[in-house]
This record gives sequence, structure tokens and C-alpha cells, in this order.
Amino acid sequence: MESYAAGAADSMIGTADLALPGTLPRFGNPDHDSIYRYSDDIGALVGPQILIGGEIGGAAKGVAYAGEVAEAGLSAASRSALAAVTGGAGAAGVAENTAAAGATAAERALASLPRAARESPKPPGWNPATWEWREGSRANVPRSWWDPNGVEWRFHPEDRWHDPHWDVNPWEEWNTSWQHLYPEG
Amino acid sequence: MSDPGGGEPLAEIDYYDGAYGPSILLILTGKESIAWLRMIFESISAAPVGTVIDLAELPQVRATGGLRNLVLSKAANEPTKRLVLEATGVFAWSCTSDEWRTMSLMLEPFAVRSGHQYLTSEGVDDALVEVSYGEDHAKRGRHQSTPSSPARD
Repeated sequence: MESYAAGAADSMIGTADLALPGTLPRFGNPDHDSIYRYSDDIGALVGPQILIGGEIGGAAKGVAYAGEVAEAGLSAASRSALAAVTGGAGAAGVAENTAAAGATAAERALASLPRAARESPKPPGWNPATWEWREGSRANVPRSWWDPNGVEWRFHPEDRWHDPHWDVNPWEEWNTSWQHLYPEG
Repeated sequence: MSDPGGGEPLAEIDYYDGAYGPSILLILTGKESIAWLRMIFESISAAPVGTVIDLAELPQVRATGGLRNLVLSKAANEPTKRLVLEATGVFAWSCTSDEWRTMSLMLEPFAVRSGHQYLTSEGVDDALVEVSYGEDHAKRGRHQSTPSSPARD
């Protein structure tokens, strides 16, 4: 999802995917350089955040800049984080976790994951508290689930040669082969 | 070339629109198929630069889809893209000696258990090459009626 960030004098400085963690490059604040960074996997107990950095005192100025972000294209997580910033929820712009109250540890852990992870199918035995969503072993592949034993799981949707299944690799050796694991039923 | 002798091929090969993008599935049909494909990779690894082998044309291979040519070649230097779909519809798969040796070693686990390996890079190469041994595959793959064509638009 793309959103715009604006610098001083309404100069457009580029685009950024606020639905994914990343860093916007420094841009044209006339007084202070600022770095805006959005992340939705910073911590299980905090939730989505837009962090505004720079020199001491730059955060308050950063609020005004955050107000320039076009909300129309933002994900719910981004809007939540943005609302926290523009609403002055903390000088550092730390967002409230809107689902925190009453949520279980597992729910909070799940909410802290990137959207791609939240929307991904979950392997059998998956537990958000102990499984990781991180780089897959195959180059240029998005991310995989990794269980606590270091087993890699990647969902393989249906195609002509495959019924939907999990590609599973325990990585006992560098060349351990992948296995099919079909969902029960 | 499709198994002129009429016996069981050592490998079946198909090019198709896979879940991860354009894909080439190479199914090894028996234990002897593993040693056979490893021998091909080892041979090209040891051969002079420029050596080519058209895997799909070998008599031990049955091409079940539109794939007609999968040309393995020995490169002097690591190419940034190892599998290229040429305008003629030919897949050209180029690797260095070390890389072909690595391909052979990737098949080593099949000696003790079934499974599959991905030999090219998804999102980089023009197709994802998957080698499978001893696994079940969807029946529609074996009974497809419309062969795919690798020719570019």
C-alpha cells in the first residue's frame, strides 16, 4: 500500500509502503532532518507504530509532517498508528494497541505480526508466541514460517501438479529435501 | 523427445503455470532416475565450457506438456540469471562447474527419502525448476489436455 509523505513547503518527497516496515529517507524539514519509520512488528505489547526520529524536539515537529500523510490509502494498522501520532499520543508518537485490552497473549502476538503473516495460512501446530515469520531459505522468496525446532514451512497453493499443501523442510543438512504435508481432511 | 522405446521414462517433465509462477516440474520415476540425473549434472560439470545437453530431448525423458527444449550448458562465470526463456521457446539453463556439482548434490537426499528440490530461483529465473522424487502429485497434472507453451508472446 502506498502513501505519500510530505516535507516542508508541501514538497512531495516520495512514496512509501506504510503497510510494511521500512524507513523513509530524510527529507526537507527546514530545521531538522527527520526519519519516519513505520513498523507493525516492533513488539507484541505495543502494536503498530509510526516512529518519528531526529534531533531532540524533532518529534513534535514530526507530528505536523505526519498530518500530511494521505490517509485514504492506509491500512487499518497504519491509520491506527497515524491517529496515535496526530492525536499526540506520546511525544514519540507511539501508537496505542487498539486491541490490547482484554486480548490474550496469543492474540497480542498475532496482532504484532506483519499483515502478510497475519493473512498467511497457519501451519499445523502454529503458535504465534513461538513461531517466527522471517526470511525463507530460498533466495528471493518472501517469508516463511519457522517453528521452534527450526523447521521451515511455506504454503503451496493449488496448481496443475499440486493439491494445496505445506512445503516443509527440517533443514537437517544444507541440502535437505522439501517434503509435502497435506492438510488433514 | 518422448521415450521412443515405449518403456517407462526415467523422468517426466512439464512446463506449467505453477503456484509460485512459471514452473518446470521434473519427476524422477524411480531410484535409477536419481543416479541418472546426477550423472548428467556431474557430466556437464566436468565438461568444457560451452558444452550443452538438451534434457528434454533425451530418450529417457518424457515431456508431458508444451516443453520441448531444456538446454543445460556449462558457463565460465556465474550468470545472474541461470534459466532463461529464449524467444524461440527454448529454456537455456546455464551454470558453472561448481553450480552443476551443487545441483547434483541437491539430489543426494533422494537416496534415502522422497521429496523435492528447487533448483532455480523463484522471481529471478524465467521458471522455477522443481525436481521431485517419490511424491504424489495431483492427477490433473498427469491428465492435462491442453499442453502449455513456453513460447514468449
